[in-house]
Amino acid sequence: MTDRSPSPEELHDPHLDALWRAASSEEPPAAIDTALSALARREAGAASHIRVAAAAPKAQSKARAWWPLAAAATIGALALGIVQMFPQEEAERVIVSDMPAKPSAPRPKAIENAPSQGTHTTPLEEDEEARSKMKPRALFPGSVAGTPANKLDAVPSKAIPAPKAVGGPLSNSRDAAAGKVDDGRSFVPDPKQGAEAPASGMLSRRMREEKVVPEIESPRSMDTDARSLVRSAPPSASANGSAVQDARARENAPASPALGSGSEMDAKKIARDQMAAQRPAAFPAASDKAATQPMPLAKARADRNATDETASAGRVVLPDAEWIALIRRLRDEGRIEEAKRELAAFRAAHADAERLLPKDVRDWQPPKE
Amino acid sequence: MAAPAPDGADPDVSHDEDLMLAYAAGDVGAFDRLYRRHKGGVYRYLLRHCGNASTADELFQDVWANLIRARSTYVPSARFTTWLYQLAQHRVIDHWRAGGRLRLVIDEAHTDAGDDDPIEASPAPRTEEPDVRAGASELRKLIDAALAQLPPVQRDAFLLQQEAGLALDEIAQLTGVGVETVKSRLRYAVARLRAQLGHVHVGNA
Repeated sequence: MTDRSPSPEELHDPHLDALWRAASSEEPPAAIDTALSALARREAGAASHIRVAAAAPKAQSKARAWWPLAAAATIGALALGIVQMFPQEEAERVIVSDMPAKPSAPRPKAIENAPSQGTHTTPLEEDEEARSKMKPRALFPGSVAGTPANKLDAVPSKAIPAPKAVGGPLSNSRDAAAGKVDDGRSFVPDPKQGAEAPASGMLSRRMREEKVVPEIESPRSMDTDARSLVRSAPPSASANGSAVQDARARENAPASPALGSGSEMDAKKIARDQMAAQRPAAFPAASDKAATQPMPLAKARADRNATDETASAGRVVLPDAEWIALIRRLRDEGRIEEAKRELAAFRAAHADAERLLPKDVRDWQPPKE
Repeated sequence: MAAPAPDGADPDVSHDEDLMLAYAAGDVGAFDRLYRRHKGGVYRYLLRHCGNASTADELFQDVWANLIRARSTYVPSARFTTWLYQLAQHRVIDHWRAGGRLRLVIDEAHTDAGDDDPIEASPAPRTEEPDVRAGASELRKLIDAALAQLPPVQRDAFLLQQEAGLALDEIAQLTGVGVETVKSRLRYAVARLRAQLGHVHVGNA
């Protein structure tokens, strides 16, 4: 091994150079030449476009300066147009109450027209009415469980017809419907009747209610309801007067037979007979259950129109325990008026209410406003 | 310093560096001239390294594509040829690395050691070997076979000298070693090739 730096002759060999030159003739394929040439042109062209764009910054900047404004104006115009396209929805009257909302519109007409015109509602409508009547109701006018009294009047013309002759205050349809509804309420706490109730969940429910608390059914309720219905002012005038009306109705209600299974049965029968006379033939199935009660019917309409969740949940006449729980709930939730109404209704419905009521409810004194 | 224009083009714009700058400015014609001038050397450099034409084609395209994309960053701090073959060498290294073979990275001490003394390792003098006349294709095979026996770094140095026409300092700059190391590598490479191809002559077989 030599340490000296290689001489130039050692780094080059002429013979090898000659061989090399003779052998080194390989060239890349023509296709590669074409492709690379095209690539070079493409890249150069793209670069030239960038240079042109950069060469006119002012003009572009001027034009681009307006782009955001133009875009904002366009978007604003579109938004305005879209907003205007949507129809303005009228604010709906929202009735906040414990009574269930009224399910359908046609029903009230039938009820309205029934007294004077003898309009016959369809069985379906009557079923629906009956069903709605079965919604939470404390069996007392304006004191449906969880339903403020004013709900009766809160129901527009649907629930409260023009004052009609007492005795036959209800239209045929109402009678029919009420009959169906009151099939259970017609003071005939006969489970069989409940079983025979037409295809109405309310009726069945009513029957169950009757079975559970037959003594709650009071003939006074029916009469009171009827009178309340008769005396009820038009909906617009009695939005908040239902409580007063109810009270008036109760005051004016004829003395009902004392509550008791026997007297109650008689009272119910009487009421039923009265209602049956008013019932239209179109509702034959309810002939025996035509003990229509104007008030319950009105209350049913009110219930339907109510927007109370409890009502819409399908609560019907409450047993004592539940009624008391309702009163407690209303009281705890700050719904003093409703709680007062329910408490009053409970006391009115039960002769021994003071005994039935727990101490905290019994001794509850609503705050004075 | 700049490579002359072998294609006889306009001497005013004949330097490789000027052509590259012109292409960077958008002169596609400058690129075409550069390409014609150096495509053969780069192709053979790659071909001799990988020994496979298809692989050489692929690496060749990659090298020039990289050059095209890097045109805007080209700075004529060194010769264009140095920069071009540096791109080629890097591509070859990447190829070997991807293939799991780093043939250009070898033990410098080993390659420059005495056990590869070209004089002792050389076969019998040329005068003792029968002369062989080979055609171009045969010659290429013999050369390829002789190069394949060289260590990668020696082969690389020889190819850079033969195909790129780089000077010793340029080879040193490109490979990242000293000039003396480059000389040593070239000496050994030349000695080995002389020993392998000394009896071969150019001519019709």
